[in-house]
Amino acid sequence: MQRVRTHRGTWCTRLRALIAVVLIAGLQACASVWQPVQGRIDSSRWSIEGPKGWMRLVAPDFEMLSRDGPYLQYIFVQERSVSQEFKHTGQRLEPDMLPHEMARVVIDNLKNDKRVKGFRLLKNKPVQVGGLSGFKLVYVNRDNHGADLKTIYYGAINGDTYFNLRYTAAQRHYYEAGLNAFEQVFQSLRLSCDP
Amino acid sequence: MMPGLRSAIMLVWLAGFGISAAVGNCRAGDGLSSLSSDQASREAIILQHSEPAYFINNMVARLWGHVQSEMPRVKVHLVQDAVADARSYPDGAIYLTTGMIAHTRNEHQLALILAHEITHYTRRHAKVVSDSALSATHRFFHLVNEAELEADREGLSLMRRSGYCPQAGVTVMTTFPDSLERLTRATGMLDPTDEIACRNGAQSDRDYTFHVAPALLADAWSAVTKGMWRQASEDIERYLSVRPDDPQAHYLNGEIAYRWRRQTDQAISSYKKAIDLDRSFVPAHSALGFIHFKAGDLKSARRFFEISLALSPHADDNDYIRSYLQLCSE
Repeated sequence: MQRVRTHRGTWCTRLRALIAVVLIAGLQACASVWQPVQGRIDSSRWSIEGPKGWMRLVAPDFEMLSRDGPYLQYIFVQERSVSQEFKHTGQRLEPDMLPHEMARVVIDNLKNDKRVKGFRLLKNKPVQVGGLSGFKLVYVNRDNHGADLKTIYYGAINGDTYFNLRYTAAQRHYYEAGLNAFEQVFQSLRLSCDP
Repeated sequence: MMPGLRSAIMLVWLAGFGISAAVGNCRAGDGLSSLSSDQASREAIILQHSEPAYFINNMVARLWGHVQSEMPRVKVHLVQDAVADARSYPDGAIYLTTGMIAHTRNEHQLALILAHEITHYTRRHAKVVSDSALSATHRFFHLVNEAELEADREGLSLMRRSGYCPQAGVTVMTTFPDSLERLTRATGMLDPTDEIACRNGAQSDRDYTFHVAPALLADAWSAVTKGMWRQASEDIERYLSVRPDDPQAHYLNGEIAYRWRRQTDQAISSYKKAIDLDRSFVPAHSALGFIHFKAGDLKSARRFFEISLALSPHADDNDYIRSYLQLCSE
């Protein structure tokens, strides 16, 4: 008996096709979350030279670069509104803050973060960040899993935004292994006031 | 609901909050909630050998003298944290934050908090509740509520036996949000004869504030780092009411005026007061330098920066001061 194709059958077929397209698109998206770094990475107000051999994760609020995996080491780039709240302190940044004032808010936010255990500040000094007056922090801490981490944190206010560039890695082996690449990224940083 | 799923949900809830957080629930925030006793002793900033710590443990000794238990005596550890919290652990440790001290106005209120936590410990509420953690959900919450009720009731009784005033003690509950029901319940537990005991009261509120003043100053520092400005301001005001000649407190008062209230003149006045009390108090000199630098008065900024560097050549923020000083010269 010849099979009659009904209206309902057509609808089911189209639905199955739609689901298949969504799944394929989703899988494609997952596969492309981490991408190889290729040359210069540009955003509206900052750009850096990506380190060769590293992978890049692009998220709406930040970018992350890693060579050995983010649980071992990563470079974190973020630009956010100056008025955006911090999670672990009620203090806020202000556009006219001096570098030591910015650094203080960031340090207090870190100290009040329950996930950052054994926080110890090793260095806190003024530096030029992409040509702007900013600050550099170096600190160590343990994460929730007991891993010893070390971070270099650069920050500066750029008009109505706050820019920060960080390098975090497991103190044992991985910190030193990626340090050169991070220093080159920092040296290549360009900040622009124009959106 | 399937028993397995119910248990799984309970385990997730407990993992998130910690079994010890289910009792000793005087907290108004999440200061100590994620820590076990061992972790609290390692991670928290504990104000050992401080005047408030001795004062509090003397209060504990007075309360413990009226406890009918053969368990080892509790020990109270004072933690520098602006989030109000008090937590007892099965090993006899009670952690009390400076934020909780900041909520108390007299000895009776603190006695109620201590008596409440002592009751949790002596009645082994943590074990009772944790033993029920994998049983029915409604039983677990029932036991938690019962533990709190017993700690309130027996805590008031312990206060009474120790010569503290329960009527004055329960007023501490008005300082916490959403505590009207608890206050009403506790008020219902008061005894008419309490009034007589209360007339022979303990020390004055001012004396109490004097004894806990260092905790208020520590709390103010913690509150500033957390951006809890109102609490920091109240702490400093209380501190200065009993210890007006502390340059550190005047400096912190200046920080609050400048960073929160945006009152530059008041900040300058407070910094100068700190310097009047101690001419070598470096943070006040630096702060005046920063204010003048931002205002464009480079000559005044330079003067204060040079004093700071001379008084303390190795201070933490000297790199910043030198960089600003260079700009003053250009």
